[in-house]
Amino acid sequence: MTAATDLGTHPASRQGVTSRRFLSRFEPYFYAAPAIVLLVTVMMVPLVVGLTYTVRDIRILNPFSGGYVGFAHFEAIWHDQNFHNALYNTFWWTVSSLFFQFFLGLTLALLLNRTFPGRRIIQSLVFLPWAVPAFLSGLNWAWMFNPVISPLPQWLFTLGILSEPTNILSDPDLAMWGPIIANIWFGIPFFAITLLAALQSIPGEIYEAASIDGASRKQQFVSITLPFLAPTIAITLMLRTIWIANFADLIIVMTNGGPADSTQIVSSYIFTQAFRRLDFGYASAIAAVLLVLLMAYAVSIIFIRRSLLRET
Amino acid sequence: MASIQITESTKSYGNTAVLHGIDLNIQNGEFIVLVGPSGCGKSTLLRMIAGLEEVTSGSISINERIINDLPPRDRDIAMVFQSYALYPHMSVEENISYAMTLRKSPKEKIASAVNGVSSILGLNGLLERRPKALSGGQRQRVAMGRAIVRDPQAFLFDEPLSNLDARLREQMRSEIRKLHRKLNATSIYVTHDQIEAMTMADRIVAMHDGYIQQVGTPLEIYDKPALKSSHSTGLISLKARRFTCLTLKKSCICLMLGQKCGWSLLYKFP
Amino acid sequence: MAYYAKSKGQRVVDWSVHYGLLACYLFFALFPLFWLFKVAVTPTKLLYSEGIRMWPSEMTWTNFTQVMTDTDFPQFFINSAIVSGSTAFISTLIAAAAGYSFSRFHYRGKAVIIVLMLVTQMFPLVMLIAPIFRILTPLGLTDSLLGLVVVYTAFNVPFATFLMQSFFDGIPKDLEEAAMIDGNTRFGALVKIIFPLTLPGIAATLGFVFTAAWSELLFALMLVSSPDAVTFPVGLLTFVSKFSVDFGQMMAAGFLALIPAAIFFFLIQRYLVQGLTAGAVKG
Ligand SMILES: Nc1ncnc2c1ncn2[C@@H]1O[C@H](COP(=O)(O)OP(=O)(O)O)[C@@H](O)[C@H]1O
Ligand SMILES: [Mg+2]
Repeated sequence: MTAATDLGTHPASRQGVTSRRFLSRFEPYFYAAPAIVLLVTVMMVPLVVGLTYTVRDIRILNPFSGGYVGFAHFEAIWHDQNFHNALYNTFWWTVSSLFFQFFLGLTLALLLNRTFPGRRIIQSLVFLPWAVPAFLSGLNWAWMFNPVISPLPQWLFTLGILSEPTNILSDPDLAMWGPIIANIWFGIPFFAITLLAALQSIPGEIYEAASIDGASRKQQFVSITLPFLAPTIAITLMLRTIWIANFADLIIVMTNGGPADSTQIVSSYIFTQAFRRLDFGYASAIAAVLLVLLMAYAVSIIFIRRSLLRET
Repeated sequence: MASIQITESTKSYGNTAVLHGIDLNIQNGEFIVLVGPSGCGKSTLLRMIAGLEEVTSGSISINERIINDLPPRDRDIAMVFQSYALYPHMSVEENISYAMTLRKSPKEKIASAVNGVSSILGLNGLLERRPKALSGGQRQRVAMGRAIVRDPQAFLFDEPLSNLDARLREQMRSEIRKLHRKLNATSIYVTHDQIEAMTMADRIVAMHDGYIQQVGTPLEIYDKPALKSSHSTGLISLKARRFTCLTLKKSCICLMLGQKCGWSLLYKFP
Repeated sequence: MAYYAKSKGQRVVDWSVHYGLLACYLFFALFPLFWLFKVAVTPTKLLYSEGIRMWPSEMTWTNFTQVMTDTDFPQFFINSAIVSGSTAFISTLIAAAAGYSFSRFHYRGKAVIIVLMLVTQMFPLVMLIAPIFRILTPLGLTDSLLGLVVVYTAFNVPFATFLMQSFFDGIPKDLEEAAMIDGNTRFGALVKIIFPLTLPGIAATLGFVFTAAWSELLFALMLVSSPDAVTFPVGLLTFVSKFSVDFGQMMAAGFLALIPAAIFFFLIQRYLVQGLTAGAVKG
């Protein structure tokens, strides 16, 4: 590599030339450096510190805490009924939020992927919930489910969805649907935006060719639209699953895990342990378990996707 | 004006070697055509000369000065891209004058240069337009204008005509040749089209799989194609493709029955 | 989608279903926001007696004026604006640089960095609160707006980077190479040629980060306690935990909080779709 420079007929400028080559070698890192530094100092280092908390007894108000406890926290988690309950709730919370967000988002994206009068304004308006701060939508939806101050319970009763026009947030059997509905409301735009973008990147000629070939609209959807959307769907579903599983704001604001822990999910349980019981050691251990579960999920999805791709 | 020497240059991406020991001397004012099948490394070589790709080993020099580590802007080279690479947010005039503006040339000089170029290339009425509002042929002309306005040491062309239709391509071919005769600047022209190579080049450099296979004038190449792998460059297949070529002393008249374009007359005058 | 030849009757049915469905979406999206506004303009005395009426028999702006004059909300509002604005600006700058690097260069360690960024998206952020608190305290960054900006920027950079990368991917590499041959340095080409072309992408990223920072509650709650540095979400939450909650004022404050994020998002959502499309075409 240096042979080239050694041939140089301008030895005086060699110093400048090598430093220029050095600079250009490191140019990509230079652009990425601020992001990396920030991620390492504000996310990776705290993560590692947080992981060390999982084997220590850290209770803020207890001056004798701080000692090494080994795997005691994890053992406790293994036997913690509340944690099991929260894990179960997390599963339902994530699956049902995701299911409705995705299908409603996909339908919305399909509706918006046509030209029609008023499209631009309608698009801006239906995407608006994404901009509403989560805590505010939580407050607002908590309000919406209150039969004294909102017509919503009455409507649900009239539609036959509720047997009585009561506040579902105070019914342990139904309470989880409150935050889920708020979450659906909040999350539809995300799917609609990403899927709409993917839809708009499908070249129109492909549809034209297919319809000349005699494909019906339904066949076109199955044989063209879905395959084109598949990569986007895979990545957004994966990202959203993780975000939703970690997303405690709505639940904390709307129900605080109640009534009777019926809406407690793992991330809100971590929050409760950390900031109500001030037991950071235990909270960190639960968070580590959640992190491991989510990473296992992500890795298995990526793995499944790989093997599916290899087959086709 | 410049002479360009490429000495034992190689290029690898990671462990894959793309160019193997390229040696080439280009004379001042020569029109060199790099020809070869797609993927044989023509663009890579051109981009190494331009400074857009690092040279893995060996050296490239312009006027006997090694320029391996010189950034593109200091090489005083102009390049016409296959995609034209016009700046979409600038008018035709701004596109053409951008290089001179960057070099802080005086305003009057820029204006007269732009004027000269646009009348040579027939862009006079289009100076205020954005590239989006131009046809393919007009865009190609703007890309040419952007290159010649600077009066650079050398011109590099990377398949500049491959996005044009057959008639326009033929017209631009002869215009590029005419321009070259007028400016007499060293030019390296990349194409995978043998006819383009035959009709435009002072010397053809036939490449295959990262090696230079043969260097010679069009007539030499036509008469004595390298036999190493006769299927490779495709130059030889000219004969197979029902060509009738009358070679005169220093010029070549080819009459060709193309599979797609019907009859066409290819000519290269001395 | 392609155009389909169809009978007139079919077309009418088709479009009625189309607009009908869109109307449902619009209703679902906007009714909660309408209700927020309705409560905010209902006089306190009618709040419960006319709780389920579509519009109160008497309308008032006093909730809004009281929020603006009698509470600390204007201060919270300014704090939030400072934090979100700076976060959006800095995150976009950092993410643009990193996204450019991902889009244009191949280099050792790039895959590792990308995986790291993906992994950060999996954190239960609650887990980071205590360690971050411990790191920021000696730096004097707790209880300060600057601390919030640093933390929010770090949280938003990964997604913003992927977003910016997809915008850069939509711009041909040839353009900056042409600019470099024309006489720019790479950085010069980035600033003069690529930057103007990514403006929609930058707008989208700015808006995305701004709304995220504007909404953040958890870290604001934990890292900040003095009223000088309280942001809107925290202020609103303290409203709730106060003994006698004035719902009308709370909703008025909430509605005001909504406005900046909504306006921002309203303006940029188009570019968000556009930019993701441009990236998708290539990748
Ligand atoms: N950035 C790159 N990384 C790895 N391989 C590359 C890269 N760019 C080009 N190549 C490879 O180098 C070879 C030569 O490419 P190129 O010079 O573009 O060919 P040509 O212009 O003759 O069609 C090709 O086989 C191509 O796959
Ligand atoms: Mg090429």
